[in-house]
Amino acid sequence: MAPLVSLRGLRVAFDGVPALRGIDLDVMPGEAVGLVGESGCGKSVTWLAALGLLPRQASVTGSVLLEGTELLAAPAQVLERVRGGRIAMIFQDPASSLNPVHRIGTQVAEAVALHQGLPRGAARAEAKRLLDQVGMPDAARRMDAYPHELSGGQNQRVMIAMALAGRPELLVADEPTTALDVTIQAQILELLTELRRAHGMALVLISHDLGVVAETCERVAVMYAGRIVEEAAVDALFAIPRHPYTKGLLGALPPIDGPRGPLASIPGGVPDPSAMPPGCAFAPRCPAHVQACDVAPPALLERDGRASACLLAA
Amino acid sequence: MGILATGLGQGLAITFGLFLLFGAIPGDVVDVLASAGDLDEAQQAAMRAELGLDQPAWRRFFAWVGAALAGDLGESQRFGQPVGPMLWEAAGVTLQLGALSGAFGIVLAFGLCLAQAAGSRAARAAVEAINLWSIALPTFCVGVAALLLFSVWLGWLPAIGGLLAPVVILGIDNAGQLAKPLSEEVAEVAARPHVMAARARGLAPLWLARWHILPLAAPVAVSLTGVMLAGLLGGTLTMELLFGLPGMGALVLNGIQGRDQPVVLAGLVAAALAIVLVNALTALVQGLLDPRQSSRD
Repeated sequence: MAPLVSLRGLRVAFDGVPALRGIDLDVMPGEAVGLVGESGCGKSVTWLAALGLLPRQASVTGSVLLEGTELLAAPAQVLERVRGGRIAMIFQDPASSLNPVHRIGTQVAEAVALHQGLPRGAARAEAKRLLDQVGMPDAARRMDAYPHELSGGQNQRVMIAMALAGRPELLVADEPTTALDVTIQAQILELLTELRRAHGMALVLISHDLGVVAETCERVAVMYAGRIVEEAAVDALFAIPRHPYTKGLLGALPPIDGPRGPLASIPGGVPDPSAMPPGCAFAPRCPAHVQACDVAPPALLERDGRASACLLAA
Repeated sequence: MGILATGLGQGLAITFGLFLLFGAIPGDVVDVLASAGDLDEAQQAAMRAELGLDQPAWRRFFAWVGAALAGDLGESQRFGQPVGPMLWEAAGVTLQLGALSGAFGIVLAFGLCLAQAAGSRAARAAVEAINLWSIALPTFCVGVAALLLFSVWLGWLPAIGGLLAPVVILGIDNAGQLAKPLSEEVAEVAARPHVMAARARGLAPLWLARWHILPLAAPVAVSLTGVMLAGLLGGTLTMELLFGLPGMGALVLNGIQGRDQPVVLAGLVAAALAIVLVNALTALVQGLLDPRQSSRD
């Protein structure tokens, strides 16, 4: 099967400082991929770059193919049709992602009118249907509410309803539950999974939370300092992590049972993007570090259906 | 209701203040008339008594306010004509000048900022340019230059009574003061997450600017528009004198020179009430723009 979206050698730099240092990633139609890593590793930048949403001073190179169409050099009109129409995106803080001065019904109807070309009345009816579909309680009445009158979870439902308006083939959810309470978190993740199955939509879930990804995704890509360091099926990755960074991340998960103890962490800090180590970016923090690690950044190599960018990956 | 009561209180306070201020100017209308002809002391005293100028200030104030509320603005002490029609005629000229230049300035400022919000860098540069222009060049200088250039040398515009030049000069001046803060607000709003989210939904730049950036940047500009419109009432004065327009500014200035209290008072109170009205309207428009403001009250 051909991938829906295919990123090749995607690089981004802000004022000459690299933020992404060559991303290769495929997303198959209908699949759920998790993108994990700590803040600043380039998870969000990857998808903002793919959709041409970065500010002008960002330099973006490489290739972003959407079913064979190159998006990186695409004219504005093509990108506008892709955004929301084929690839939709939702963000971390739903309250600030909505326009505070428009009623939510108007905002959802705006997205519907844009992508489905419906007249005003029909767009509103479809907006109400979408709000029902994403589980907005009392949707008919809430159409007239402003974002500041809704809870965080409800606002995220509004964002998801707007994302569905374009019937996208891929939904990129950028930390969609980070700003929400734990119980609401579970509901939103469940909703995303349900909608993905119902619409045959692919999902890219960007998260720093391994647990969230494990529950929702089929495949995971772990990012570190602007590169993908390991990529595998969820079960395989959690069972046997190969990259020392992934091992560190899994080791840092607090145990569910047993006595409370100090949280494990990976020693050291993320390297300064303007002064990257010559070899593997993780080498300075790596417990398995050998001299060969400092020669060049190791390539992401595939072996038995999974890949890792480590010389010592077993 | 609160806005209305505040406005009324302000209007009354301003009127009384103006009354006291006018009293502080040395000399009265009798002195002005006496300086032109030969009135002896007794005639002057009799005239003051007839005009009520020998009464204490507070009594004259209440007499004037009472009459004004009943619609009688009195007679010009200098010309013996009723003040009402004089004021009405002058206000027509000033309102025309003020409305045209105010509208021109608002349209120019908002138009440029809309273009900027839609991603035009040229619009941003234009905002900087007219802002510099309005700070560096006083309107009367530009007015004199325009008179020389267009009326005297080129002969394209009439030297007296033409509206085009003063409207454009005042309009650009106002646009410059309004566009700069609006433009900064637009740049700030454009960086907010909801704008990124809206772009990610595929909205076109101009639509984004109109519905998702400008309405959020506008409240600042609406307050400033109020200040600008209020300032315009004073700004028209120089233009009226320079371009020979018989407006309120000219009327009041002549009134002050002749110590013609009823004319000055009526003119200034009308201007003050107009400013109070503009401020009330500004507050009203802001409530309409941002639903969070009205629900907070």
